[in-house]
Amino acid sequence: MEENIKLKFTATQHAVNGKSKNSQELLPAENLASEISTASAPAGFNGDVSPEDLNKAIDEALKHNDFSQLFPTLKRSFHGRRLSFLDNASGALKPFTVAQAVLKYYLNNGSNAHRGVYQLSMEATSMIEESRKRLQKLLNAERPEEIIFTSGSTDSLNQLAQSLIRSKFLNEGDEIILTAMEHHANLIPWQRLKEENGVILKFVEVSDSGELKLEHFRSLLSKKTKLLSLVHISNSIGTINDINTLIKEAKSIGALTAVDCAQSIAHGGIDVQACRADFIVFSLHKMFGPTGLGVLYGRYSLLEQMPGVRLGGGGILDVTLEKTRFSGLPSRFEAGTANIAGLLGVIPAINFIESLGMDRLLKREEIIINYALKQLQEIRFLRLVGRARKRAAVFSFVIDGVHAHDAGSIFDDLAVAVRVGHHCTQPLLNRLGFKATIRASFSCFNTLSDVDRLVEGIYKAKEVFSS
Amino acid sequence: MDSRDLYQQLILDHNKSPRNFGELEAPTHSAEGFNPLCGDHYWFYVELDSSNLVIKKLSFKGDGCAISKAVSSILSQSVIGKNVLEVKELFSCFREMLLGQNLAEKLMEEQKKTLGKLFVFEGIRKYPSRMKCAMLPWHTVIAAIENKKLAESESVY
Repeated sequence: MEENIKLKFTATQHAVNGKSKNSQELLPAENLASEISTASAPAGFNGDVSPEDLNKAIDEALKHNDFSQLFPTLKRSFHGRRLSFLDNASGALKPFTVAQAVLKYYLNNGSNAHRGVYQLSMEATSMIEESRKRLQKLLNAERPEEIIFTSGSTDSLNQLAQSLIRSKFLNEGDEIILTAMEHHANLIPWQRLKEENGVILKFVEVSDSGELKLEHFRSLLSKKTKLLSLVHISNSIGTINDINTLIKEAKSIGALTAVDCAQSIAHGGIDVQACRADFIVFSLHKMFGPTGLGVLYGRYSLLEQMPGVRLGGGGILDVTLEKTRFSGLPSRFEAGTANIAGLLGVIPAINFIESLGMDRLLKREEIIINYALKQLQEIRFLRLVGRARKRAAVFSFVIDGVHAHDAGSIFDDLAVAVRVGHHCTQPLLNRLGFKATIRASFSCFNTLSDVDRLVEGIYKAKEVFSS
Repeated sequence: MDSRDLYQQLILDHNKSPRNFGELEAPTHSAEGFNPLCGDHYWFYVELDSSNLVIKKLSFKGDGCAISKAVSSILSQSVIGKNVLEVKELFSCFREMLLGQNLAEKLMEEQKKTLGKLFVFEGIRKYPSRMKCAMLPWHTVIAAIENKKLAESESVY
């Protein structure tokens, strides 16, 4: 039996390695992890990537303006052309170190966390708790219990809305201030509270240039305002909102505050103590981490008074057929088995962000923003949607005479990956007078040549539709 | 891939000047078709003859991408004068053209004949993300004939 398992391990490892070895040669399991690391590391890396290796790799990438050693997907081509990945607002590509960590869990552990008393399970538990602590540090949160793992920003906001109602922080007749710029994820969960619980929704207006109207926000504030929930950086037009001012003013009248940091988490970051938001949400896949994961951060003193929303396995003290006593934080918000493999990708994702450094990342993006703005504004038949003074590297535009969806297919033929449609912000696009736009969103690994290829695609689309 | 395989002249022409565009004066049937993903949004108006079987008139209005608009326009030309069963057969032939696997040469020829001008959309086979655009007008016409008010494109191909 044991022999069988060993054989299987060897087979797996060979499959990963992709090189032939003497099948009689049995490796002890503890060697497996390093074998896997070696196998999944691109040429030039040997096994696990040390912090020094990562720093060196990032310096090299910056020096040569080429991140493809770190992001293997960048090496792919389509129709014979190198991929230009410009859909980072939807989800960033992954450094190989993230993929490695995920793979390693499945090949080397695979057990459930928070359950077993055996080594394997305890190892899984301690690894995901380590991820929680790294996220706490990233946000500058006071306690690790303030970091609740969810399946993404959407899940975080749904849970937040439902928990605020159940905790009676929100009641019938209370007013919630949102903005006309929100992603549907920060709109629909509140619409449900309006329908089912009688809360009142108010929306901060957006100017023609795609900025929030501060005066209008002030006119909405009243004693009835119980919550302000707004987006930090618009996922569809790139506006960076002055969240500090809005949070400060909302808090001055005693309202709770929540910020959707889905975009900002990897483009500037967020310090929860500095901005003083009560809740923030974000997704890990937009910060170079695995998909299907997110965070709901909440101030401890508030979360303490809030019930979990998803109930079941875990998150309890004791259960009888009649009733249940729930556990403390964060576990009562995390019933069910977590995406453990994904959570193990969090640390390498944060390592990447921290090794690169937010300053260097933002500087690269700023160069791209300035160049892209200049290029796009020169095109007479292009209309830029959203012209905020403070903006991120997210550009929405339309090409006169070409439907966004058609343009999307033409870009795809050129291996330029852009997003087309309403980007889950239908009310915002309607407000600005559009149904669908083409969106190009950049990350630190993009280069000015990606902007050039975007421009090439724009001219190609215009040409196809002018014939 | 070259976008010109997809956006052939005939498609661009029907996109620019769609035929049978506008509302009918006295439609016997009508339906709305909406693709929430990309915003293609059309209304089809059908006037069946007294036997309730043959399409006497058909028109559409609305907005969407070049593919959905050109399909709407060319299909409108193709189905006027046909009976309801023939329309459904034509749709299944169109669907087969886009989704069918490894069609035999002979079948292709037969298909081509049946589809006529609609064969111009064959290039969409290579663009799975555009299937919905091509299917929505068909679903809307069929919804109208079947007295349904709203059609959505199939969600999985």
